[in-house]
Amino acid sequence: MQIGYKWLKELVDFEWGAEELCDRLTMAGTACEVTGLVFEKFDGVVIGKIKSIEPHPSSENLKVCQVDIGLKTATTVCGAPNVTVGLKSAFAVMGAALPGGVHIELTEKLGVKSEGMLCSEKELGLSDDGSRIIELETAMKAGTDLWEKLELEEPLIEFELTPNRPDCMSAIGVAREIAALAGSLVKHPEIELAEIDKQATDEIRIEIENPEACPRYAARLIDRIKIGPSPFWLKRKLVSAGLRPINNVVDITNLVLMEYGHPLHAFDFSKFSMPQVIVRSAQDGEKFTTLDGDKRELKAGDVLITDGSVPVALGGIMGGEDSEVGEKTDRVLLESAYFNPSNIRRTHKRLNIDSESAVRFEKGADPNMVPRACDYAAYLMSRLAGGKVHEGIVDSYPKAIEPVEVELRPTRVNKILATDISAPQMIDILDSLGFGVQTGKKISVLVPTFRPDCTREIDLVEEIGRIYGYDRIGTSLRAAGELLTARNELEVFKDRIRDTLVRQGLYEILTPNMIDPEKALKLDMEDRFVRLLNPLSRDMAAFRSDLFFNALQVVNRNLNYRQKDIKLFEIGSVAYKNGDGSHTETTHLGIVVCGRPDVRNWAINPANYDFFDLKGIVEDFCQGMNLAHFEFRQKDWKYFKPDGSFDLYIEGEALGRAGVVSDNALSMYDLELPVYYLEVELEKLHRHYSEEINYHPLPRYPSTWRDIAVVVDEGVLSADLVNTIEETGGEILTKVELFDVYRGKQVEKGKKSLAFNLEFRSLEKTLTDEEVDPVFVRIIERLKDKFTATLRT
Amino acid sequence: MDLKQQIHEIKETFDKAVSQIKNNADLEKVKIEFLGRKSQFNQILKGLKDLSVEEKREIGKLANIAKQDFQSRLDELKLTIGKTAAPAEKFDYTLPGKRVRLGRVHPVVTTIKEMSDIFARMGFAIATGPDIESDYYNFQALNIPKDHPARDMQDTFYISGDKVLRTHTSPVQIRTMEKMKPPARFIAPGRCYRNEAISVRAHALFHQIEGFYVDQDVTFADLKGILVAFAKSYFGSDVKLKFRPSFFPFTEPSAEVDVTCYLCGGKGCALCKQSGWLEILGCGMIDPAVFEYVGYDPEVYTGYAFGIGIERICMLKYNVEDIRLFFEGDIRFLEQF
Repeated sequence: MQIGYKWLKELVDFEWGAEELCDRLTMAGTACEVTGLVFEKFDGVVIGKIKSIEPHPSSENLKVCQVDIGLKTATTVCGAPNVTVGLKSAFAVMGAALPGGVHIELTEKLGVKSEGMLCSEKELGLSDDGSRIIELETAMKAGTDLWEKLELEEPLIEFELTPNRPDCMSAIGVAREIAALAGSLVKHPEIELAEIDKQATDEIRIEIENPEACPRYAARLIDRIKIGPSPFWLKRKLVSAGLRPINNVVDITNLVLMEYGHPLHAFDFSKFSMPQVIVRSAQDGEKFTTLDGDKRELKAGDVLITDGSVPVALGGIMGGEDSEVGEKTDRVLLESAYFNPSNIRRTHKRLNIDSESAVRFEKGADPNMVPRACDYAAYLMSRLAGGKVHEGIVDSYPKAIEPVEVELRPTRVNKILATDISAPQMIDILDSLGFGVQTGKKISVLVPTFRPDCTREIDLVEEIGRIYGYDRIGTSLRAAGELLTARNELEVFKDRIRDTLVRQGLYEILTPNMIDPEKALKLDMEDRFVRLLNPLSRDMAAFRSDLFFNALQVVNRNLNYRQKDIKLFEIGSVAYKNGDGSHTETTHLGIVVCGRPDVRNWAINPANYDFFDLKGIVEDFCQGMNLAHFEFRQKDWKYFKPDGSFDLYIEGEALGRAGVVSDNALSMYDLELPVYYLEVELEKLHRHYSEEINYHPLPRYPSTWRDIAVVVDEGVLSADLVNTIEETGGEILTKVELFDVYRGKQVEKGKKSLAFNLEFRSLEKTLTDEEVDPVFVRIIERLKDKFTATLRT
Repeated sequence: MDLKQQIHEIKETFDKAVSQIKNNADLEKVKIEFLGRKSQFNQILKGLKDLSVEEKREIGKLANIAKQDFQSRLDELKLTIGKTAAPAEKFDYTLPGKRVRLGRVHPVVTTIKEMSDIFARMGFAIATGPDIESDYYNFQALNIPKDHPARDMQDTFYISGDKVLRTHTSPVQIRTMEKMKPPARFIAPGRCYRNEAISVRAHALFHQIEGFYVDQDVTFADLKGILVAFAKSYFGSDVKLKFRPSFFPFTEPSAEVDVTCYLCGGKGCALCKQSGWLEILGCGMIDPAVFEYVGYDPEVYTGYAFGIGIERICMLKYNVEDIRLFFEGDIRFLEQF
């Protein structure tokens, strides 16, 4: 919402300039700021009186005018239809600067010199009416500067209102806030309504069939309206409020809308087939064409205003095409009503009509403003459009909406705000905001009906607090309750994971939880996606069930940016549907590896990352986290390659998967480099985590080492060899390291050679060869037996 | 001539001779001249017997050291001579070192951690809640009934009629309070979602830290106090705060909080759009309606709550102009934090 500063000045006395006014309003809860001027500045435009008019020698449409501009008379060529002798209008002299960067210079129009220009409102940026030159009051003196005379310099204030304050969506509403802050009173516009000697009730009857949806409907009848342009003061107000002037009748309803915040509607009453207004609920499927030309399909619950036979308006939202006020209208039925916010909300949300009227009724207008708004508009129509107002307002209000009564306890206010505000001070504040206050044993506050947001004492606490000023409330730092707070173990665990992986050189990523489920289904993933009813786009249509797809997306992006060293992890929420339709949400840890170390260094020549880089990250991670080691068990997953696809186990529990990303998945993300991926369930992993550390005393006796190289079939797994060595070695074998894998000339085809370094040590003494050798021999024999291994020499 | 002086001169002539050696023949010649039987050294050593015990020891030592030095230098020279025409390899300490790339924690996570730590020091425990939330926790129990205009403030992703992606971290307030009696003092960091078009300034997801404290006699001054303490700790002790009345359905009175722009110190600059202030959070006293949902008696207990948007502060703090960068995983972005 926007309003000109001067409009507010008219409605309430205050001493602040526009900037200070905005600061004060903002600090009291009505957020606003000066965003510029209502009208763009112009210079060199004076009041000119047209002294004579002569035809243009070579054009029928143009006229040559002599214009008195005070110190001299200027000749100008003008084509406006309303140039008349004696008219006072705006004249831009040579050298004048008009809005939009237009400069006025001496010109020649078809052979006649033109020393300046008679201006339309459009040329001066005052409205978008460019059809005629401005007509000014005759009392204005020729030669006077127009910008100064009309006091056009006016700051424009834009408001950012919170949804609980519909009452501030009007000049009077803002003025009320200012009055409370300035300690002054709102000056309501005067209404001097002269009615004709004809009863409105003789001409029109009103009936409300659905008072729940439309609690109040009132109207006035105005005859002999002359539709025409509005005077400048009215247009000016509408322009400052961001509305386009149309004609006097429409402009008047808009003025009342912006001044009082109450939506009105003017019907061309001659279009009514019967002299009545019947308010009823629409029927399902009923059709109605609103004045924007759209044919709307209605539902029961929508409010229709009808003349007893056909609908004339979609109540509180938009009028109908057929009964719209036009050039020829001379009988106006002026509607002032109040509609239930919920009905309005449902209808305008469903039909997507965000009219000023709908927005206001939805947030809550004032049912008791109905007669005043109607009278005010009727008065203006008689004054500005020659209308004759029938006597009386026809007002159907079956059940009056009364102000809410709330008890106020000053001690409670001060207790919550930590203030020391006296009861009279509180009453003053509420009174200035338009609340009625009755004091006695208790303080009883009557909440005006324009404040639907205030229904409880706490609402009054806020009113008092914000007008008193939050900045006047002190600060305190109290420590009550438990000083030592509980640790959130899962969060601590997550932090520990981050620390460990970061030390290992991985970057943490955060990616959107919404993914394209169709892409995942193409990889034959099980369809357990939790889908969104209203996604932003198809590629964000479901909540992710793992972190895999986002990881590939990120790899793709980084490769496109020529980042070659990709080691990333994400800790994020995932969700999947269960068989019974419920869903499970949990947290996963994903790790992705691709490319090669980014160390183009003179001393290091790194190899591309492979599966064992991922495995190494896992092994270091487990050691760093003090976790038992992960076991890789072969298992087919669709998005991994068949021979590189694993389930991850820890202490016998399956809690994740890892592998080499399949060609299908790679091509889906345009990836050409191999990608290695791992994902585990974080909460399950957490159960295997302990911060306990068991210290082992440092060895007191030296170790002794033996190397062994065995040739075995390709099919033999190194882990099986290690296990056998460890089992056979017993207590004195303290470490087995696999230090070489060899295939080639010196080994038979289909076989491989594995070399181990074994460390022997005792806690009790220095081992001798006599003690180690038999064990070593046993290990060799065992490997020979179990794996038909041969020793390589 | 003094023998010491003599040895010194021999050394000098040796240095000169060595520097002129170009091949093996030269080397042999120098060897014979300085270390051969007829060399000056041998003459000196032969003459030692005429000296006193003291002198014998001193001169003998000097001569021997010099002789050994000559020998080793010539040996060294012999290894390289002829083979290398170019100068010997030199240690270039300016070569880049052998590095191990360090990882990085995501800046949003770092910011959450920094803020959480401040609140943890002030006695706030950490609570969490799910991203997929029920309408009840996300809206209803926070005093946002169906058909309420306040629902428009938060464009919501729906999973079903009853399930949404949480639009704020405030549901954690309800979940936590339901499970315990006051005093309750928690922060709840987490991810939130809004159904709005993704642009440079806005994303469909973002992170928040919720904070709340419920007890007897908690006041608006306590709320101001804790947030001032937080802001001074996070932004610096010179920072000033401005509490502007605002509206949230689950707090009353409500406020939005601005801090003085840390870039210009409140003078006005491009970052704060010349206002001198930056909006950082929303807060207020927990609405009694919320207490009724969790079974706290609003006549006995009062409390405050606040919600801080993480990305916004991250963007301000690091001058990141595009919010989407936080969720794209671009290493060139991540490596800067």
